[in-house]
Amino acid sequence: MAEREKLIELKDLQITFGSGKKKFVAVDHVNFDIYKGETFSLVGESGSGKTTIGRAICRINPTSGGDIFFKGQKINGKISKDLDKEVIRKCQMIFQDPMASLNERAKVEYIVAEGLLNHHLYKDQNDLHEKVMNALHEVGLLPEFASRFPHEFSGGQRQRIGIARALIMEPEFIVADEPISALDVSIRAQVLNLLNNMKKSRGLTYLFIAHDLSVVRFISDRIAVISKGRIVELAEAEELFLHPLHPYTKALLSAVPIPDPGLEKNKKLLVYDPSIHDYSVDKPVWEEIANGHFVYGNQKELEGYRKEYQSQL
Amino acid sequence: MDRQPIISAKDVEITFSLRGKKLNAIRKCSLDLYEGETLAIVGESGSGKSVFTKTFVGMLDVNGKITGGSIMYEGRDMTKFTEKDWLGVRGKKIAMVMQDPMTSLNPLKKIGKQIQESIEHHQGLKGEAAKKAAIEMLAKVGIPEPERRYDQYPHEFSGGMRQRVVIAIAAACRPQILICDEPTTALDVTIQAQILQLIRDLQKELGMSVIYITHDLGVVANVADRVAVMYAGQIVEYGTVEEIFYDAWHPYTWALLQALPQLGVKGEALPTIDGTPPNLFNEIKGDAFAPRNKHALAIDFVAEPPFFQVSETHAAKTWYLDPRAPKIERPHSIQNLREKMGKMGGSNLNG
Repeated sequence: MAEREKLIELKDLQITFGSGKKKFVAVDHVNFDIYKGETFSLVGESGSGKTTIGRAICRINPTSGGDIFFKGQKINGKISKDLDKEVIRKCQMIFQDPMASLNERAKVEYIVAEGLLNHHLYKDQNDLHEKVMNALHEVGLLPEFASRFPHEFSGGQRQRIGIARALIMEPEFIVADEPISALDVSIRAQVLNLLNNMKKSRGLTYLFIAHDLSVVRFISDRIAVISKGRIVELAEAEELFLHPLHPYTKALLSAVPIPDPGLEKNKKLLVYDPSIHDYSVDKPVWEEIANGHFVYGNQKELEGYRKEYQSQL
Repeated sequence: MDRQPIISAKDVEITFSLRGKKLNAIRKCSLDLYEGETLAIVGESGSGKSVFTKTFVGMLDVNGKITGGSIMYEGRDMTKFTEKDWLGVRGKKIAMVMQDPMTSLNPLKKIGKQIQESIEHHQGLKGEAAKKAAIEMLAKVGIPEPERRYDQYPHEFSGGMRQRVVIAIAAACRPQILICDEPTTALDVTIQAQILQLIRDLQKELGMSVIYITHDLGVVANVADRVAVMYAGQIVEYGTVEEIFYDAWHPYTWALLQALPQLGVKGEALPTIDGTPPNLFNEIKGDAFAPRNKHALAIDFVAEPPFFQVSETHAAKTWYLDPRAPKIERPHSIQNLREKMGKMGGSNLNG
């Protein structure tokens, strides 16, 4: 796998809010790479910093330490104006709440076209109009929707508008921040299929941020579990579900409701207690336990994880 | 079934008047709720599950009207209740927990006072006694340091804690029936598991019957004894939770189960329910789900199917169950649901 092209690399990324006494470390020494063409998922509870990482890659949140590389170029901190523009165009974001993320006073045509307008990426009005129509068509919306306002649409349709707005910029990388948690079950499936089709037809790379693990398992290639600003475990999707090692991952997995009454009613709910980690002497490290399966822990814990992993094989 | 239902709704019809037009939100819905049970109502948004249950607490929006049917509770018909009648029932005997803990609390009032309000109003306790009861209630729903928390405002609580407070308010009067309208949709999975457990504990302790409104089939599997599936203002199938998951008959129930991401095959598209629910402004002919059903029978477009009993507790409103109907296979992906879920690795965690 080493020869796969890395699209995004995070190195010791740290993001803090506030300063002095009120300083809050939201993301702490995060390291991971996202390969071109994969769907990489970041799961964790609210407040764990998963959205902050996504926003930092899109240059919305400033970073306070470490580096972010996009195609080998450093894109955090002070960078040239041209590069800034390029990153903003090539890394697009899809937001969680389709109600709040669309400008209520603008028509769909303007909402979708706004990025092109800002970057002057069109020849003339006709070209602009055509691009908007193509984008709408691609996400399965009718051309007459262009002249309507966001409030006239259902949640699923609004989310499609949000996707069209991201796609029209012809991005290479999309940060999808809980794009389906506000949607109904049946519409969820439609939006997931749409995202998957886009990925195939355009060769996109996704960073998928979610707390719903059942969905994550279906769409992602690799999953990172984040807790309190730290990535605690990273592995390929099936691997993570079949051999979770870190206690936090286990607790998170056990909390996901299984849609089967027989299993769900008899399952044991695990609760994560952070105080089981004693990191006072033995400092924790980020280590690869098996091929592509990383866990965060100190030497003693890692020893235990290794044994556990061996016994499960 | 020799159990007596505590709420028995029969052929309830609700219409809303919107801009001079009539919207038939609930079309002849019948539902029984038995004592001590947990009933889950599932369906897409707009299927009418919230509207239907709101009639159990008399909180229908002003432009909505019950135009037919009856809801019997303690020997009285709730559809004929006046606002005065409701005061003795709403909150006291039948309480409701709303979806969004951010908007269902008063941001200007202290948490403790908001719980106390309901205790004072319904139990007649005053002053210190009411305060003590409120603090007890806070402790019961698992809020640490209840004395200190009593004096705090909603913005000082996290989402999960706020939902605990809302549940505390609802349970403070020891209601007979608790209606939970998507109580965990806005919460994280770990918090969701805790809240579901909390509601279950309270239910046991207070002997309540609970109605869950949800679209998450995982939550249904977790909490429900019985399930009712709603579509376009009607209940289309009901049965025990096992019957709905393992032996469903209505094509809409099948479609809901098929759309589960857990059953998806990586790299392939998830099965979706194409089209949209019918427009309830119009008269609906035949089976409301027929236009979206790939295997609809000819009769589905002409005549509305009646309920066919599958077992004593299980019935579905579909022509598939008519003896004259051709044999229709249940979709492949939802057969042997249990084995499939077991294979997903749940066993590794919970075995």
